[in-house]
Amino acid sequence: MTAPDPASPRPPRPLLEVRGLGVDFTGPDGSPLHAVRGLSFTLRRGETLAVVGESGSGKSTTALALTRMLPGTGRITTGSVLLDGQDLAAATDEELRAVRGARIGMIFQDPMTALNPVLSVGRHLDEVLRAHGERDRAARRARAVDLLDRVGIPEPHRRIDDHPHQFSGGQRQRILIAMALAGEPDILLADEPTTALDATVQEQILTLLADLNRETGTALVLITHNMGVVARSCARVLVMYGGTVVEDGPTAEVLTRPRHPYTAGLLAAVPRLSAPSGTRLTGIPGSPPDLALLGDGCAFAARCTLAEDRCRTGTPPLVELTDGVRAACLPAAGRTEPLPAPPPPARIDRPAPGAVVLEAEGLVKTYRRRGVRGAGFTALDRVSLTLAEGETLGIVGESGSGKSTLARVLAHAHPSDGGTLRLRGEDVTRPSRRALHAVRRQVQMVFQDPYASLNPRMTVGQIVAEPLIAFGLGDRDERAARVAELLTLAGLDPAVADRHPRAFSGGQRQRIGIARALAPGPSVLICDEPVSALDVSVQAQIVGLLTDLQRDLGLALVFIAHDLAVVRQVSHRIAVMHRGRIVESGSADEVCEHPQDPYTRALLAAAPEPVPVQHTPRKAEALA
Amino acid sequence: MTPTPDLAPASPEALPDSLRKPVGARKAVRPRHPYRAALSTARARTGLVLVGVVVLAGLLAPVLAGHGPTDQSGQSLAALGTPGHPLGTDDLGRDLLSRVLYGIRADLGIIAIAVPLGAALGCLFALAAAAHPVADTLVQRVFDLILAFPGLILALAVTAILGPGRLPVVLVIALAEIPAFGRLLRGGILVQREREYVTAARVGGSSGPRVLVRHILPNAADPLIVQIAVSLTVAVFIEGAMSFLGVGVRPPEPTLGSVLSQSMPYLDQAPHFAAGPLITVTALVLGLSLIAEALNRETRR
Amino acid sequence: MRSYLLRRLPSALLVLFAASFLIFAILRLVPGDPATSLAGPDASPATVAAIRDRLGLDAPLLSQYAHWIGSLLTGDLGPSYAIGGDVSDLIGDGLGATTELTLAALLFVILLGTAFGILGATSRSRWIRSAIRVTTTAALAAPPFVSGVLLVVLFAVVLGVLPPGGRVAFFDAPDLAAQYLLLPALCLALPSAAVLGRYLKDGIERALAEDCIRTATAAGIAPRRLLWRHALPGALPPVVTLLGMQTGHLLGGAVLVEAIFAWPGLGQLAEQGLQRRDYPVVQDLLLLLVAAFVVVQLLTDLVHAWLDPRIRWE
Repeated sequence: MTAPDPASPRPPRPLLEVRGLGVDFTGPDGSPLHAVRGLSFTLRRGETLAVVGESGSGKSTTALALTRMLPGTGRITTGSVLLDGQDLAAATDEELRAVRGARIGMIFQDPMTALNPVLSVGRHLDEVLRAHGERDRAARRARAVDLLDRVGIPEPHRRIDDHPHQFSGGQRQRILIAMALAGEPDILLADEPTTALDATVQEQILTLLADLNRETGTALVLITHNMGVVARSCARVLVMYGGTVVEDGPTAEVLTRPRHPYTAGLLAAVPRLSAPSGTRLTGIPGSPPDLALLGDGCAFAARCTLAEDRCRTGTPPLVELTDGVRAACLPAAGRTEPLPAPPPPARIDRPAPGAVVLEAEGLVKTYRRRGVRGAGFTALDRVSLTLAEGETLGIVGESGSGKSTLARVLAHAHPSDGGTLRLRGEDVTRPSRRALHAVRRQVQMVFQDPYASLNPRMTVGQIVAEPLIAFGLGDRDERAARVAELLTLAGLDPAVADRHPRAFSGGQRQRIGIARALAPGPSVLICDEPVSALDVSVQAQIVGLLTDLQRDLGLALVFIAHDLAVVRQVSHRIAVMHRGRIVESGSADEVCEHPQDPYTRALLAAAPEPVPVQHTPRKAEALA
Repeated sequence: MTPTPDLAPASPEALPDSLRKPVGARKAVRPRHPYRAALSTARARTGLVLVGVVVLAGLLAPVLAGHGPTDQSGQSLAALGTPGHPLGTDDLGRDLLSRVLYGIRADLGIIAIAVPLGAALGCLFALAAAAHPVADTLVQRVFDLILAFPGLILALAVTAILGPGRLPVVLVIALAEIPAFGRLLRGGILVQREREYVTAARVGGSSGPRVLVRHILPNAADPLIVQIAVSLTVAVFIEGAMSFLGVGVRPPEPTLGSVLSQSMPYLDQAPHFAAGPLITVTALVLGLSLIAEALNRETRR
Repeated sequence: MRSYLLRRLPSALLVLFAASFLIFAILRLVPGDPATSLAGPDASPATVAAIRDRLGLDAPLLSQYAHWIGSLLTGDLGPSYAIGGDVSDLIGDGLGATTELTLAALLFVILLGTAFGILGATSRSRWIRSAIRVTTTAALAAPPFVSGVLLVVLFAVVLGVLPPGGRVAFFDAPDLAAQYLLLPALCLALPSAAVLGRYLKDGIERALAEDCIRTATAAGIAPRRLLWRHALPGALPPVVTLLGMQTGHLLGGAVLVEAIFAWPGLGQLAEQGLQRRDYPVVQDLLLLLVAAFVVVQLLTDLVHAWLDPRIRWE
């Protein structure tokens, strides 16, 4: 089953071999949910393997199942996990404990919660070293300092007794890596280790992981949803969909010649930093699969443009198609040629921007810190910008850059502490109640979190009708008709109006939020990270919807995101924010091609692109 | 990028949702109301039956009782099953069944005024606290002050002013409930107010009062429902305890607590004296606790 | 830590001050001349004069208040005019008995509560977990006057192994004193032990579900150590806060339990004071109990801060 790699001689036995692994959870109604189905792969000593997939793909479940750490009702139902021949799926708890940490080290997604807030960093490491048989207390402490030093914590002697909340997110992830390394494992299993981190910090952590792999020979399994991270870090990639592997092969091969339509679709959906402004993203239609509804046949068949009748009935086996590349696709097995290249990305046809609608000058926003006297935290530091009719202004920045605060100030959700805001030339910085009402008809907002921004108590119809009621638009019947119209506009069936938000997927909820924002007929839409919580394949749909709406309704858009690539494609102009200030702004292509500010350059360099590794030298040149 | 949970509750949605095609949710799943779900559990049903029987007995006291609650018959401390006195009589020869039934009635009368009063005052305080930071500090100190008189010490303080009787019992219960409801609602409002859907409603043009009534309060009020059930049990506790301390409703009018406390000196010669009020109080409090627990479990999900 | 104390202290003092003023106002809220209404309808003019003198009712209100606080601080409360004896002695005796009862109950709360919590959260035996669930539900649902009556009936009347009420001073005859102490302390402790047990159980279950426990599990740390060294330290701070609150409730509940078990403590003294209309004694007692409660809260906050480094460094 294993794929021979021509570059290295095949070892007698792989380090880790997973055969036909199946994991079930019990659904809310008591029926089993098959989170992982018939999963097989191998890992050789010192190898770097990426497991990539979207929500519901079963990638994190797989990671937890390997050392039998499944939460709640999760259980391994079939298959084996062979570590040097020892079946972990059938091992005793005692045997498993000897494997965890010592043979397989794990790193988890959220460094903010993965460390125990009441234990010092030294205690964390001490506990692990103690569990792996180091009896001498002083030796453990010395080793802990070494480990902290190794993962790049400055002044480890001084910081060893500090508690987790005294470290930044990136540092906490480093501490977690130190914990995972403490038992000198053969495999480092990292589950979305950089997802919660900013791009520049992500870059540092990925570099650290690569260095560790090279220096200690520890095999790396990196679980991620980000194709750019895959390209950046791993030699081999496993693509998962609907709980099973759909494609497996060398990264360079899979990224350039995908065999499975899902892999191809996913790659096409990833926004490229190199694509110029105005490029339409190609999404995959539909939503990620619902595990409860998966029946026979290929899980991707429902969204696949190349699906044939047989795809919906028989489960496709994972077969080797060419050197070391395996794919689970019935039509692909008969295909000798790689998949046809995706059509060249379409251009968004959009009219040229018109007159300026929104103008901000020297906006200041300071948050006072509780209990701290004097200067507070400056979220916005003299921010100025303009926005024209039919124009998209992209705003990029990392967490804490003030971009969300800017969105809220522009939408009058928070008052500014200084500066002026003008709407069509009229000063609306501190509007009267009546003027604010008028401003809000013009300026609406789309929020980042499609879960938190919809009132769970209201139906979709009530949510979308709320602004209509607030602005006194229409009677009951007219409102109902308008709600139906708005839902259709946002790409939803008007019949969903009497359901509650919880019945919808993330992408659909975002459509509900967009329908609500459009209700009063605004001319400016402030979108605060509208796609950050969504899967890549769904992100493209929402971005497409927003650009279509702009074209049809002549909206002016402020599009806020941390992903420079998305921002470049949708925006006419880009403003880069850093520590509350706009450090650089200009036309989207200009900012990305010829960055002036060092911070913009660092941001560009840190953005991982789903292009095989020869791409990386760009980074060195950009930093130079 | 915000982490997307890999195996969070599966999205109940798998139909194609292409950009151009309108889409809909899988099923018309109208979410069951959490309270109704909570009250249909076995736990809650047991509770409802227990409370229902006791309340009904209290309401029907004039019909069910064979005697007036203070009528004295000749025989004192009559045993269980004495003709005309199924629960026997007390030390003064009063029919115990009648006293227990009228005792329930008295308790219900007190609780029905005191708990809503305390809840309403607590909620008013919470609304005031949510309105302005200065009011908030003030309200917080008021709560601290009330809470500085734990349990029956509050009862002692109030009776020191008013003397024993029905009014102090009502007041003590109401006072004790004020911080409980007030803190819950204040906390709920503060949490909900920061939620993004509230910002969304404000940006959507909804006025302040409308945001409060239509968006914040329905979501902040959840814990209050559980608190009502808890407060009812606390009220039964306080009434009984004040009777035991001799600062409750004045004799000879019976309450559950006073009948029980009167039975104390006779526990060794006539243990059945205590049986009626003991079983009634236990059924009432157990029933209410079961309901509270069921609601709590369901709303915490 | 000291700065934390300095931050918490003012609000505690404020509450104490406000409470003292309220309690002071109690007498002045009674309609009519306090001395006459306190003395009752049949009192001789001499008694009324004695009360007037004891309360210093002729002095301005502020100086009355100052005098009262001063007498409390010096511990010299003068003679009781209705109950008899020196008030300081009366309170001293009662305080000893109540402290004994409260401490014994606190011991039960901690022992039973911890056992309920830890076993309830971690026992592998379904039987033990159900037994604990039933016990805590029952203990929570039974008001002290119900459980007190049941305990007396069972242990004193039916089994006859323990006395139904009364007290023997602990240092006179420890074994006998323990017999008298057992039922009231248990009766007082049961509801709080159940609350603590539930809370601890939920806390441990939540702590065991935290991401950081998953991290530690993945690092190969043994389950027993996970519970004691990783989950418990995180679950403990809120439990300590709860324990502090429950100690306050024990103080309040002691008043009732003393009435049920004829335990000659502060509660009984207060009851007597109320019945004999010796309100000054009641006032002194109330302030003492409130002060004790406020101090316990303050100590609790400090322990909480000590256990949870996030608060310490805030």
